Amino acid sequence: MSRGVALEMFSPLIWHQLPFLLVGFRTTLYVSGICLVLATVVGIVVALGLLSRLFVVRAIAGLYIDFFRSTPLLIQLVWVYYALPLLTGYSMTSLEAGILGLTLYEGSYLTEIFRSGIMSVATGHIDAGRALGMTSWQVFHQIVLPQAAVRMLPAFTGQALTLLKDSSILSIIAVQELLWQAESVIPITLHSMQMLTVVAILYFAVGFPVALLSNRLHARWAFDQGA
Amino acid sequence: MEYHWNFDVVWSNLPFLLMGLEYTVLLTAVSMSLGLMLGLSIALIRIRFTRIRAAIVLYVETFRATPLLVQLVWIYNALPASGLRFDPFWSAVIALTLNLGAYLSEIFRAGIISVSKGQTHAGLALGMTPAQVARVVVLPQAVRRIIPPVASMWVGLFKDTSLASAIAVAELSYRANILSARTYRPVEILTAVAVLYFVITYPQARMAHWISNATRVRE
Repeated sequence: MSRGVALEMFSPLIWHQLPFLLVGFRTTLYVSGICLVLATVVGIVVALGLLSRLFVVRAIAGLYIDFFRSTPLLIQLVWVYYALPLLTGYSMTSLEAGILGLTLYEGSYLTEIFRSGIMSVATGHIDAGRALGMTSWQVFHQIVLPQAAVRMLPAFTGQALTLLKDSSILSIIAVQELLWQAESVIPITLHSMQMLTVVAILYFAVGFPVALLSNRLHARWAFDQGA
Repeated sequence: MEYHWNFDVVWSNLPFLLMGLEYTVLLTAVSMSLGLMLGLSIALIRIRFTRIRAAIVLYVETFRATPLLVQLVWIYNALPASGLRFDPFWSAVIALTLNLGAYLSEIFRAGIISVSKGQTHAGLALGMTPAQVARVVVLPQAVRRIIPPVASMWVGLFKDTSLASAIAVAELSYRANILSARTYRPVEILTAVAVLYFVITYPQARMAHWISNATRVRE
């Protein structure tokens, strides 16, 4: 970085644009939050579908995760935004399309996390619950879920970070999140270096604590397992 | 609403799309090769030279805690302000390599550290040089732990190359967007491209899964 650029970082012009970026940042956080909640619901439902006794349910759940995990999020978003409305006749705003696309994509990853969490609970525990006369719901709710939840937490936190970062791809379909806001103002101010660096710093400010939390949870779970 | 599918537009433009696929594969292969070298170097430097550890941690954490798309756009749009200018393809290679290197260095480091100290000591006690210990004792064991996550990084990278379309690299996604705007047939074009990605990515994902089962370390 040349000295001129380094000094320019503090030019007042940049700080005038900051509120504009923060509006985008708020959308980033809001979209990420909504998608995390929705993708968690999708993930739990599909994970239960994968463990279903009915072949058809298992097959549909399997097709869903295979397809969504084997194509790029970018293509899914563009498809939901440009192609889906032509098929359904219902047009969506870019925000709606973005939330739908991101939820379905991240949901397919969360499904695997939930499934392996549920599978990790020893079958002996389930048999013991059954032997005590508990219903399947009671077994799931009181024996499987509490143990699975603790084990899923590190991977879940990691996926939450991925989701936050992936939300930047929504800028491609013109969702007015952080990156889109920055890119829309660059042709006017021409301060691409400053704008994009501030964008990176804002992502880092949220992403890094989540990454630390995920690392700590991973380390703690490894320790618990070793003990 | 009844939609009239017409896949003619896909067949007539297939060569155009397949040329994009070539770029996608090329981008993946070049970035993975460079990323592996970078990741291994960073891991070894971090283990060997603890004094510059802070700088390496800063690199790794910055690239893991910010979106790849921001890194791409930063290298293509922001870096020229400092006088460093790359064409779209090389900007994408640089961003993907730096991003991948950050993740791979952690994978390599974890793989190397996972080989117990006792093994190293045993090798040294037998009169092997440190280089021999690294090559004969540590590396073969570390590789088994490194290969599965690297295989899944490859699959992730293959999909991530689609982001290069944002900086006008003429790979598959970029061509898909161009074509669907030009032909007014987004449904057929985008569906075909999604299927194309699936047909190529899915076997790779199965392969990564198979590799991970085949090389599993039992302890």
